[in-house]
Order: sequence, then C-alpha cells, then structure tokens
Amino acid sequence: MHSTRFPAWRPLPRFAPVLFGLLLLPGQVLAQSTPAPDTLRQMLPSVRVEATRTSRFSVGSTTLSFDSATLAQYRAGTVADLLSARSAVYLKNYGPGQLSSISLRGTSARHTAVLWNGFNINLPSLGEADFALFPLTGQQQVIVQPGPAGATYGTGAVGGTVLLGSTGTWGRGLQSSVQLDAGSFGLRAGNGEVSFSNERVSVRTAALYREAANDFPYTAFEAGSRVRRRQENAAFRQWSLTQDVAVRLGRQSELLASAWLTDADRQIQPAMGSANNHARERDQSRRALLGYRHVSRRHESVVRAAWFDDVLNYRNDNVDSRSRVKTTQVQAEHTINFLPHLSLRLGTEVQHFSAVVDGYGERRTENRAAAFSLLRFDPSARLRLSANMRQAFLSNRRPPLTPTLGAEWVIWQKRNAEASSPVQQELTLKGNASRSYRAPTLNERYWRPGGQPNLLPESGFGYEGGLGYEAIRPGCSLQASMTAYQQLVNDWVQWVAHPTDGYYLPRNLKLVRTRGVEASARASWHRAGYRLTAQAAAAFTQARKLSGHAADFDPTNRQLPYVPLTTATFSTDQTWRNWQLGTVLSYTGYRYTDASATDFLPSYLLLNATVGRTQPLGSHLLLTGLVQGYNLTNRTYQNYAYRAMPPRSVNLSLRLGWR
Amino acid sequence: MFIPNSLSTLRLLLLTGVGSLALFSCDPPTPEPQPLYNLAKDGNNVFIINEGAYGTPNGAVSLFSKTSKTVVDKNIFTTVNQGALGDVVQSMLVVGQQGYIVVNNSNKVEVVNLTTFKSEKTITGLQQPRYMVVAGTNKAYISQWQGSPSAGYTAGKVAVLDLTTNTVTSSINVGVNPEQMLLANGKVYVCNSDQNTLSVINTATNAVESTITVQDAPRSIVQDNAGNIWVLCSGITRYGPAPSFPILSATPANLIKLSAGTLTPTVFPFASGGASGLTLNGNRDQLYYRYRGAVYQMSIGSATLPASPLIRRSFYGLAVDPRDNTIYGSISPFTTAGKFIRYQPTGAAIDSFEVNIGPNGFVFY
Repeated sequence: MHSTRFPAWRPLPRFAPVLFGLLLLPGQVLAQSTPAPDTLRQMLPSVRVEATRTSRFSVGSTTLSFDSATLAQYRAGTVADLLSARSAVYLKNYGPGQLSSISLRGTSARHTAVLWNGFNINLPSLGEADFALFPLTGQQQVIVQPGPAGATYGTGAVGGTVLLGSTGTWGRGLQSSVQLDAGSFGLRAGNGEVSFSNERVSVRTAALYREAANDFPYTAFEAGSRVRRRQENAAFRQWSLTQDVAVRLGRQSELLASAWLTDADRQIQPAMGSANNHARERDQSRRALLGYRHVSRRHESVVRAAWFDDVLNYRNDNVDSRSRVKTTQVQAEHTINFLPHLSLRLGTEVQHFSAVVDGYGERRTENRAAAFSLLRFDPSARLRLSANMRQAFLSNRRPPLTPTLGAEWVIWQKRNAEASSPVQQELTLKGNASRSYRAPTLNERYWRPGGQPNLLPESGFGYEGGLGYEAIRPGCSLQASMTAYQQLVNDWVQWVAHPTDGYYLPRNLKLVRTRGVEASARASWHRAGYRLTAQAAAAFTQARKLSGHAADFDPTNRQLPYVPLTTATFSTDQTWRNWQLGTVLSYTGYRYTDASATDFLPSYLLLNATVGRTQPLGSHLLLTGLVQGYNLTNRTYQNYAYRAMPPRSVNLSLRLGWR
Repeated sequence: MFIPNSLSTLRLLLLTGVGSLALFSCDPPTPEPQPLYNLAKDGNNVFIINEGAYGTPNGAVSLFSKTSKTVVDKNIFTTVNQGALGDVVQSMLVVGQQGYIVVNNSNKVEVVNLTTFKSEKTITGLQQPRYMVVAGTNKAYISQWQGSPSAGYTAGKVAVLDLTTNTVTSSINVGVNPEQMLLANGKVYVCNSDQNTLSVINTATNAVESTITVQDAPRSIVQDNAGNIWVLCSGITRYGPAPSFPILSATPANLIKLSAGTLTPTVFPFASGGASGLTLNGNRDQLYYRYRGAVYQMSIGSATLPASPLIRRSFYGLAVDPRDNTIYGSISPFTTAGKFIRYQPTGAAIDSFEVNIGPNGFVFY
C-alpha cells in the first residue's frame, strides 16, 4: 500500500489515512492527486528527510497508479503489458514484445511525456518511448497522469504523463527475491532483486532477463483461402538492470544515485502478407542520475543531474540505420513551505543533446532550457488549489508560456466517527486547465532530407472536470471517479510528401481536438482471510482533425487512426488464505487504420487469468507459484493492422522471497 | 455490503460508463459481399494501382467505371477474394483477360482473372519485383531489384515467366535496380535505374545481347508510333558513405530519343534531376512526363523540351487513357486514402475520386 502523508495542520480522523491510501491504490482507479506530503515528518526521528513530490502541485488531475500486488503479477513483463491489461489506456502494439506506443487521450506517442525519477526519457530523436522497452522489474512506481501538464512535466506532456522510478525505502533491512518464468512460444524469464535499507542507507539492485521465440501459429487469409502459418522473425531478448542508492547525510540532507540500463535485441515481426526482410532492432539505453537534497523546516533544495545514452540501431536486408543520442541534463529546484498549506517551488532545467544519427548526416547538438514555478495553496481543509507555470527556451523557437490552474473541492463529507462501525464518505469536485507544448524532435529538425530546423513547437490547451467519490467502512470500500476533458492541439506536426521531390518533410499542419470521458470504479471487500477487489474502467475518446494546411490531405472531422472510440477493462483479484485468483477482461474498440477513416480493425475482448499460491518456507522464505493464462478465449485479433497476435498461451512463474 | 449512497453512485457510473460503451462500441458495418464481377474488356474500366503503406499488406486495386463515373470498388481484390492483396502493389500487366499484379514487398505476382477478379495463382519466389512486360508468345519478363545498391549488389534480375503455366522458368542478370521494360523488334529493353544503361535482351534466347549507355537513372521507357524509343532518365544524387554524407555527385534528368532502327540517341537535357513517369497518348505521338511538381506534354517531333507545363500539379502516378487521351493523375498522401483527378487533353480538370492508400498508376481495360 502506498504510504500517505498529510499536512500537519489538518485535523484528520483515524481512518482518513486508510481512505486516502485507498485513493492512491491500485489499478485503474482514477485517484485524485497525492495529498500533501508532510512537512512535519522531517522532524520525526525515523524519517528525517522527506521530499515534496511534484504531484503535490498537480491538483485537479486524475492519476492512475498500481499497487505492489498488481505490479508483482507483471514482474516478468513490461510497462506495456501492465498498462494494456490493467488500464483503459490504449497502446498501439505491433506484436508480443514489439513496439508499443501509448496513446493518452487520443494523442500520439509523441504527446506523452515519460519521466524516470523526474527526467524525461522519451528518445530525443523520435520524441517518444517504446513501452515494450521498459521492464517492470526495478520500477517501484508506475503512475499515469492523463491530460496536459506542460507546466509541471515539460515538453510532450500534452496527452499525458507517465511517471516511472523508485520511491525510496528506509528501515526495511535486507530483502531479496528471485523469480523464474517459463511460458508459451519460448518465453523464458528470470528476475531478481536485492535491497538493504536502514535509517541511513538504502540500496536496491534489480535485474531481469527475458526472451521469447514468438513462433506462435496464426491464420492468414491469402487469395481466398485460410492458411495456417507460424510467425517468423519475431523473437526477442532483453535485459534490464536497476540500481538505486540513497544515503542520508545528517538529519537534513540526502544523496541519491540511480542507474537504469535496458537492452533489447528484437527481430521485427513482419506484417502478415509482407515479405520477411529480416528486420532487426537493437535498443540500448543507459541512464544514470545523481542528486542532492537538502531539507530544512521551511526550505527544500534539490539539485540533480542525469546522463542518458540511447542507442537505436535498425537493419533489414536493404537498410542499415544507426542512431545514438547522448543527453546531459541538470535540474535545480527550491521549495518554500511558507505555511503548511502554502508551498512554492521555483526551478529550472537545462538539457544538452548530442546526436549521431545516420539520417542527420553529421553530429547534431541542441540545447533546451526551462524555468518553472509551482504553487500549491489550500485555503481550507476542503479546498486545494495549484497554479503552475513554465517557460521553455529552445534554440531558434519559443514555445508558449504554459500555465496550469487546478482545484479540488470536497463538496460533501459524511462522518460517523462515533458509531460502532465508522463510515466515511467523501465527494470531491475537481478540475484543471492547462497549456502544453511539445518541442520538435531531433528527427523533425535534422533528418536529411526533409528536417525543418525552424519547425514550431506544438501547443495545446486543455481542460477537464470531474467528480470523485470514496466510501469506506470496515471490511469494504468503494471509489469511483468520472472525468470529462477536452483539448485542442495546434501546429500538430505531420510528415507530408514534398511537393516536387520524392521525400517527406514535417510541417506544422493541423489543429486537432480530442475530447472524451473517463470513468472508473473500484470496490473492495474482505472478511476472514478472504479479499475481493473488483475494478472497472472505461474511456470514450474522440480525436479529430478540425482544420489543417492545404498541403495536408487528411480529411477533417474524422476519428484519427489508431484511436479507439472506446476502451474498457474489468478486473477482479481474489485472495483466500494462501491462494490468489485474478481475472482481467479488456475491451478495445474498433480503430480506423488510416486518416480517411475507411478501413478499420474490429473490436476485441481479451480474457486473462492468474491462479497462484504463496507458501511460507520457514520464517524467512516465501514461495509463490503463479499460473497465468492469456487470451483464454483464443481470440484471433489484431491490435495493429496485419500484425498477428498470439493465440491462447500460458506462463508459469515461481518466486522465492527472502527477508 | 455497500452503503446506499455508494451503491447509487456506482449505479450511476455503471449506467453512464457502460451506457456510453454500449452506444459507441458497435463496429462500423462491414461491406456486404459483392456479387461476383463480370467485367467486359471494353475500355470502360480503369484499374487504379494503390501501393498501400510500406510494410503493411494493404495495397489494393481500385475499379473505376468510366461509364458510371464512379469508383465501383476501392479494393476489388479483397472484395472478391476475401484476402489482402499484399505489401506495395507496384504495377499491373494485362495479358488477354488476365491481370498480373506485381506486389513488390510481398515478393510475389498475383494472377487474377480480369472478368471476375478471382485470384488464379500466386507466383512466389521473386525478390523485390517491380514491373512486367510481355516478351513474346506465352512469355513475360519480371524486373526485380536484389537489395540495396548501398549494400553492394551488382546485378538486378529479370525473371522469365511462362504464361501458360505461370511459373518462372529462368532468370537473367541485368544492371542495378531494373525498372520498366519495353518490347520492341523482338528485344526487351530494361532500364537499369541505378546506372546509366539499358540491358537489351534477345527474347529468343533470353540472353542479354548488348548494353546501351544512356544517362543516369533510366526508369521509364516507351515507343512512339514512328518506332523511336524514348527513355526518361531521372538523374542520380549520390551521397558519401559516412557522416556527414556529403553530396558526391548530382546529375540532372535527361529525355533520350533512340531513333527507330539505328537507335541513334538524341538527348534532351533538363536543368535539374527528378523528371519521371514517361507515358504516351493513344496515337503514340505525344509524350507526357512529370517534372518539378507539374505535368508536361511534348510532341514526338519537337526539337526541344516544352518550356511550360500542361498541368501545374504534382502527381504520384500519371497515365493517359489511350481511347480519349483523358489524363489521369493521382495524389498519394499515404497517411490517408489517395485520390485521382481526371483532366481533359487540354489540361482542364474534369473530376476527382477517392481511391485507396498510395495510388501510383492506372490500367485501362
């Protein structure tokens, strides 16, 4: 369960931490933003230094987070596996282990900022992230915050933001675990984690290796007849290593160091009916960061530096394309807690990119900078406000000033504190309005031919409003939330054919409007060794081009390709003594495959299930065995056009934990 | 188990959430299976070749009816055969009542009966096929690339196809990146587009008997009604092999006339590279080509290239209806369905129609 902290001044009932803890709890529950981290805890003897999380300034936004029990089920998988099964977020997926690009609120993958411990890890060349390259092992948190948040998270936070990284663990002693997985179509995986923490030092190392042959059978229609084939050229192997070290220097400061290495060697699954041109891709990322934090009663200063080295090499029978981008960046921020309910953070960040990409013809460098101020003010215990602003500086072009305003108001509360079984209910109204921007990617600026050094940043303006409801009583709880949003993105970049020469070039072409509704509910009930949690989430997303440049042939007012109008998921998790049973039903609506909205891929419903048992072995060892079944109804479906997907498959996993 | 208020909220959410799901989750209707086609070879049918998106087998052939002025079917192959046609539909050759559809990135040729458009055979075992030409009785040639010239391959291939069995019987080595071919006087002239040559194949022996030097990047080739062979060379820009990939050389385009019989060349030089898509009108006395975002028309007797274009518009594909000289030009954004525009022989636009992804050419049937 997430740890929860409150401003010291707020009078809280005993059960409130539970209530808010549940709010942050798993799954696709669209919980409200994290309540205020405390300014009191720093004086407690056991927890001397506590960071003020950036999410404190994201008032009025919805977030999806996943608890450790949910994460544990996907420990051998990737963030893509987690999000596509456990949330209504749509990921465009080219096959098992293949490219998985996220679409938050109807935008493209370039419009989601992915942050690792506060640093944007989207590939600078492509401006987006492949979620299949992020193994879950080593990630202590996965948080999705849909909606624009340019002021808080910087470039690319147009459709939303995904936060990965470590949360910091103290005083847990020595812990370790090792897990082995074996599954259909040659899936083999192993992962392990060792951590040690006392009140001064926290060290954690996690590693994963996985591979799959992916030679699954599929049926293709070829010239009037059904042909049974085996998938070719879709094998992959990948590994990941995560290392976190935190050292407390005295009562007020802390030194942090983290590294995250990922490496994937993938064959690229060809389309059904296309020639196998033996495409292969190697993605290697090395990420390191070093930080120093100093906290006093009212002030908190953080300086952090990060170094990324991203390699993406692609080749097939005809093409050999190499790219390597090194990123150096520094963030500095200072937070002043004027009052327990009034915080101001001022900060700046500087980034330097150095790219050696075949397509650029020569080494290209680029500098970016940004300054921001984040303000959080809670006028009363039931009203929370935030006002943020960021100005980014890009060489040659100036993105818009991006302010964000957010509010949350507890409009109704019910307490039965004196009754024998206390009941707490709360209804919260929340909303925010935000501008956002996306800096042109290095490819958009420097690719030769076609790159446009003077391409304008995209700019967006969006707003959302919603209701959140929570109820809790001993033995059961319920949370539900509903959000409606709209966003306009202008100067949306698209690559179009050069009017006379045979190449493509990116241009600021379109005005795109996305709008929709997200709803979710989570109910939990437990009694005498039995616990049931059921979660449901649905999203309705409309994304349309409203107007565009004459050079853009895409028609207006049609649903954008690969944005399903509806997605939904329903999951249950049951535990009884040492047994666990989980089911996930996920629905992906039809998606058009081209901008004219003529061809589409049919909707599909997938059912996955997990059965497991945990067995203590002595007082320190815990053995967990899981059987996971995927696509249990053996559905033939396509997520991306003409990419075969596996039929029914199974995965066995054995985990040994020690503490 | 829940308190009443929470239950009603849950109901509300379920009603709204699930309600909207039910409202919007129905897939759009799929087109009903069409009755089988019964097309007559009367010159009123136009097949539009749509490449589809590269790497995706959504290439298609669209059927346009000149009489009803409608696109009858945007993807006639799939309508009739219920399967995908393939990845990068490059070209189509008509032999009698059979269509040979060259599917480049699926390494195959689909043979269809053009009356019904039913698939009759899939010719596999090819490598990057591009174009086909009839090379004599019951014989056709298929030009094929063999990878990327930067990877160092030195010879393209022309497959010899037996049209009675639709099987490849042998293969002929030609130059690099062979493109369009022309049968004239018992010989097939092959454009070696990454070089400056034509390979001349003797169709009786299936052997290259000579090589004609033209200019850089010959891609399209036609024969006019006086027997002259016209070759349009696009010019080549070559880059260095390593960063910063400097431009090593850049040659302009040239139109070349090889006079009837003697094949004596006359060169019509362009100011820059990029001219492409040479084609003829019905009488085979007017040439048409694309250059710098426009369409030019040139009489076969002209001593110079035309100075001003016939149509100021950039097309991905260009063809002239041999019956009435109507000009067909296609627009191919690739992100969305492309379209074609028809023009009077004078260059005045008539009408336009949406087809499929990446239209690159037209076959009149």
